[in-house]
Amino acid sequence: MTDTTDVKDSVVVDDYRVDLAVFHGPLDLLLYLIRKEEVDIYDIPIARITNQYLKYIELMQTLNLEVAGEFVLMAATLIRIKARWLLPRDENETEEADPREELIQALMEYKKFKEAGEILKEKAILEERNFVPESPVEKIHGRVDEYSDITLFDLISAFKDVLEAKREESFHQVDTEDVTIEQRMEFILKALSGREYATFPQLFSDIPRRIVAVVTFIALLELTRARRVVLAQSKPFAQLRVYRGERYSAEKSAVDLISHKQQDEVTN
Amino acid sequence: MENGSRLSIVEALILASPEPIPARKLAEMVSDLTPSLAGKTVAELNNRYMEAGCSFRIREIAGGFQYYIVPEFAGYVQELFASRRKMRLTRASLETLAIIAYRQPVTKAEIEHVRGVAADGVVHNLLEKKLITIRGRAETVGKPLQYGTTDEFLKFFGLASLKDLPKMSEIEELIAENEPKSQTRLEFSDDTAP
Repeated sequence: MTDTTDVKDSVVVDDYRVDLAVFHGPLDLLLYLIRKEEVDIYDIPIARITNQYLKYIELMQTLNLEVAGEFVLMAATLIRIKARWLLPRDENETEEADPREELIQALMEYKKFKEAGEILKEKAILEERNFVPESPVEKIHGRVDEYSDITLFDLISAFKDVLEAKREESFHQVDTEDVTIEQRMEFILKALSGREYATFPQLFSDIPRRIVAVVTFIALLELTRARRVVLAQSKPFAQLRVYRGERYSAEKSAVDLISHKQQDEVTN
Repeated sequence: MENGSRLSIVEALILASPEPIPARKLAEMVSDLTPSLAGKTVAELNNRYMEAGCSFRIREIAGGFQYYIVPEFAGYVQELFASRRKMRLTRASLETLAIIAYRQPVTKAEIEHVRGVAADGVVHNLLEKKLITIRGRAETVGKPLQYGTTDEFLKFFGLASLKDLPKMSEIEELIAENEPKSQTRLEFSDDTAP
């Protein structure tokens, strides 16, 4: 299609190749070009910037870099603006909007947040020099994992690890599993009776079949909801631990738990 | 209550709290203490620490009070925190966080509109890092999820509250100062004027 050596020649001059990965999207590339060409962002020479932009896109292809769809979309937008810009103005339409207007708006908007991102970065660097002593109270209680702000992501990724570990032991045998959520709830509560906490993988360690692991996971969610167990970790991304919750009781039967559930629903 | 004991009680509570403790909570726990008096007490404590040449102060972060070692001693202290690795954020993450911080609650589509690139990966990553959280759903077609920043975000950037972020107008001024304008170039500058 186009002579690629031509492209290379024109661009290598700027020694641009090193910077390719630095561009975070078409707007970022455009801002770079505007700065490099020293043109006014409010009065972009659209033909010149479009040509420059297309050269970079070609270069990215030449280097076998995957050109994201956004870059291609912006190329189309630029070409459209350029075409409208070059077309003779319609005499009947006295007040035709500048076809570049929308693009300029988008660029200015993006630039503000790019700057804000830079400011945040500086703040994070400053904050790195502020050391916060660990609270002595946590030490007294001997329980460091007060970090209980656990999201669904943490839970699912922990469960994913457990399931993946079980994958190899699958064999083709169709069995009717008579495992129930209630049974697994009792299993979890019993597991916690003898110790302070159980780690997430520990709860699943003796389970040979995935279906049982899945039911155990659901049981764990139920118990957490009923506040019979509490999930905590020492810090973000640390291993999940299961503790006895405020409503913990190993003796209470599963039927009791269901009534708790109903109570919850009434009070909520 | 005596002034001295009030100072000591507030000091003890802030020191003992595992999380930054809000002025409101201090007021709840100590009789005759109002949130504004709590703030004054903290200022008084900080004055004392400064006069005594202490290496620590109390600061307001993520809506609460917390002790910290003044940066002057960071060089000595960091050895102790060697295992604490600060997470590094990419530029894409920082830009996305900035958009969420200023525009919250904001949908992924709105973020993508500003940055001009897909935001799925970055948003997922920020959610995992707990710097942002799901705030609800927008009342538009498809009811997309809306995101907002967390207390963890404030802590990471050392902010007392979102009001601590530079105002958008300040950022605009900053950009305008650095922007070469063709209009201004046409005008006579002072040194070329006769």
